[in-house]
Amino acid sequence: MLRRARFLRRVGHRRAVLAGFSAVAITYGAGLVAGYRPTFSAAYHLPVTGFGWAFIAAGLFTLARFRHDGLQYAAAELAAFAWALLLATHWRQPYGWTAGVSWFGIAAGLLLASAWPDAPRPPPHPPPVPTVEELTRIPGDPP
Amino acid sequence: MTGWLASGGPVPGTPGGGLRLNTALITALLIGIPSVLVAVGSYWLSLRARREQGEAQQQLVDAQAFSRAREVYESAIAELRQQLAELRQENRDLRARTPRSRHRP
Repeated sequence: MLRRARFLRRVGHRRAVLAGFSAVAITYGAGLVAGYRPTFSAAYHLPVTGFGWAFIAAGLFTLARFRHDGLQYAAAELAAFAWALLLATHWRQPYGWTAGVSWFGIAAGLLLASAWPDAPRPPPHPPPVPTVEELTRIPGDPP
Repeated sequence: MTGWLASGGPVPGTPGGGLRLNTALITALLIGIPSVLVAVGSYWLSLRARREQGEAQQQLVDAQAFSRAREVYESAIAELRQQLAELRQENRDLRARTPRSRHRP
């Protein structure tokens, strides 16, 4: 618990959320490339493996370390929300709504996390408080 | 609508393909435009969160600097009060040891 708190303080929860999405996107994309099919096998003349590679690319992009994470959140949101809408077009199929609702939830979570600022980092510990003699000492005078 | 999506979309050059292609294009736009809008919104929210984080960081530094300055001046005041008390005591001791006539100007 303490280690996890230290990890979150060091990395920040924004990057932790992106790392979590990256793990999900790479795993899901690898599954699509390997042969997993959600509710359809092709859309817009693109096979599902193409979407799988897109998920892997989005996961790798969000895993990279940039100075600002705005573009990474935008890429993650684009992948999750577009996939949720694409799955929602198949909601009439048996249990077709389950995957769509799940990805809508992931997209909503990413949107909330993108608006959530990291906690401020505590500044370094200051030096000890000086005494009056130290404060009023004129440089060059004997101590 | 789900049928042609599931089967890979309309095939160009087939009878009725133009209308189906338009339907596919509209659906693609209905998926693409909201997705891009949400992504842009996420980027904007990230920028705002970054600005708020900078302000919170500045407030934390200011609060710690204020606390530190207060600690320094309260310590200095306490030390000066102690020195003043010691000086008064020395003054009283000197007055007690010195003949009274020498006090007056």
